[in-house]
Amino acid sequence: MIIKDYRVMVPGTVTAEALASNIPLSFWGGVNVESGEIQDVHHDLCSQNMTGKVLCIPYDRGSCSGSGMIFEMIRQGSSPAAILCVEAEAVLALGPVIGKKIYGRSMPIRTVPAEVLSLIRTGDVITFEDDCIRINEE
Amino acid sequence: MELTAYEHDMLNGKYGEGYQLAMEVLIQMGELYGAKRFIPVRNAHIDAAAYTTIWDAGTEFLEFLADHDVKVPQPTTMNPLSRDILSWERLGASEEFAMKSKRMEDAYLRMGVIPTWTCAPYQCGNLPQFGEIVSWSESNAVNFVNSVIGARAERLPDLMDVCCAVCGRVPEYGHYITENRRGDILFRLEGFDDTWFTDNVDYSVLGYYIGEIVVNRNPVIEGLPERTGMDQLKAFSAASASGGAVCLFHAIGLTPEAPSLEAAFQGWDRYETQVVTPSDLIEMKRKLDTANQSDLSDGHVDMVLIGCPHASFTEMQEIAGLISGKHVKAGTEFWITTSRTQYELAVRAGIAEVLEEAGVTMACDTCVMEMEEGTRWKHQTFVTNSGKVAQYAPGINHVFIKMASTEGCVQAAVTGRFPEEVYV
Repeated sequence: MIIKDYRVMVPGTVTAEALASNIPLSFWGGVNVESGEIQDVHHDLCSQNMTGKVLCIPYDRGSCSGSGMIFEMIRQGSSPAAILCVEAEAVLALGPVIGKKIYGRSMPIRTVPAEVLSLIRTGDVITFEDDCIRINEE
Repeated sequence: MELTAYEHDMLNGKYGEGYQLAMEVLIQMGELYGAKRFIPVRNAHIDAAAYTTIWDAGTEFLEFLADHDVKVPQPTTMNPLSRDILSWERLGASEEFAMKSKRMEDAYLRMGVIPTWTCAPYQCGNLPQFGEIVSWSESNAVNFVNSVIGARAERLPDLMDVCCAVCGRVPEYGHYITENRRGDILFRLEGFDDTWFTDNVDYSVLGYYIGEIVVNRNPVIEGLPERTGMDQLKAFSAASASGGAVCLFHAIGLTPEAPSLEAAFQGWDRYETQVVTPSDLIEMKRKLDTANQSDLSDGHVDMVLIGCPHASFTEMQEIAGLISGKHVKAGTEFWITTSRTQYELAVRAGIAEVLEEAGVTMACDTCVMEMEEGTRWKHQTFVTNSGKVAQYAPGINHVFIKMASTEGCVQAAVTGRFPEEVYV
């Protein structure tokens, strides 16, 4: 599947496996910054690891501290490879924006319509290209 | 974005690299979210104060600002730390960890903040005016100040809150804009008799229930009793911002932008209505009570926790009345987290003494879910009245949750067993 209907929130290209859910996630309290493991017992991805994956969630939720968590994960190298979501609140985007300024490392974020996100399954191969998003396409 | 001459000067480095970095971040964020200009603020509250939320990366960012002589231009209160400044050692933090927090605190103090270290700044003297644009962060506090005070706040992420406070500016986006403050969906409470909504726990469960449904839309609630007080609205604010990402709610007849349905929806009438009944909340509480779903939990209570958000004088007064003459059971802990200022008032009133004599652990300046020691506890079960604890503590502190009223929490602390209360 090739997606043309998307918005770039944080620029960058990437290819990685998807870790996908339709449940919003709070990075603070919901994720271990060192290991990248999801620890929110109310979340269906609990105990899965997001490091190096394209994290596909509809929204973030909960704490305003999610941004600090993502910033530190970018510093440590435990962040997802990218985030694909329906709406990227500032809590998601801030970490990569300052990560780029302070450490020269970022994490691309793109948004797609909810009906597109709901098609993605964990293990799908997601590619952020300059002009499209590929899902399970070489 | 359109910049004033002063904003241009900050961006061009006239006031140094610290303001320049903060301004660069704000412009990038503002443009990302469609802001056309900045709005000056006279009041700020910074969330990014716990070491376990901003870590070394955040600390280095703060030190960069402080080293470049950045000062906050307006009164700026601060969220809880990862330690109790006076009692961290007694409470079980390591020196190495405490010093990591101190390093971050020092950077903030150099920037001229007010060291309130509380997540309920609105109960410690930071009270903006109705309609005032503020630079606030901390999900419960943003929700409270937007909804209950009617000031204008947006869920500023950690560290963006610092950039805004430093520049004295917020990008004009989100809930700063009148149209975005319109209610999106109506929740009508039906079938609740007078026994409901007498305790914080009901507001916590309702908040979580609504938050989970609306995620980041603005809920309007009809049917909450007139006697609903500040501490209950605090519990609702925290829970709806944890179960979802609620940033603004309107409670008809209670909150200032909602004298009527028409006002809450800004004259719009095509909204969806959902009826909420007691069985919805009983079901929600059952879901949050993870202790009930676990074979590992046998009804023994390791820890009772009140003070998320930070307990007010009034809440401590109520607990002191309930626990006076009794004692926390051996093998069970009862913690109250609060701000230093509310604690000092409790000391003056003799309430702190009653609580401490009964075996209650009082922790100031901090949060059980942001402390180092909290992650090392071997506790299995928390009893709490907080929806925010119910959301986060299972992941952070590795515990099962049992939610209870304030009275139920005290009973659990004294007996060491789950409270015998029929919900609710």
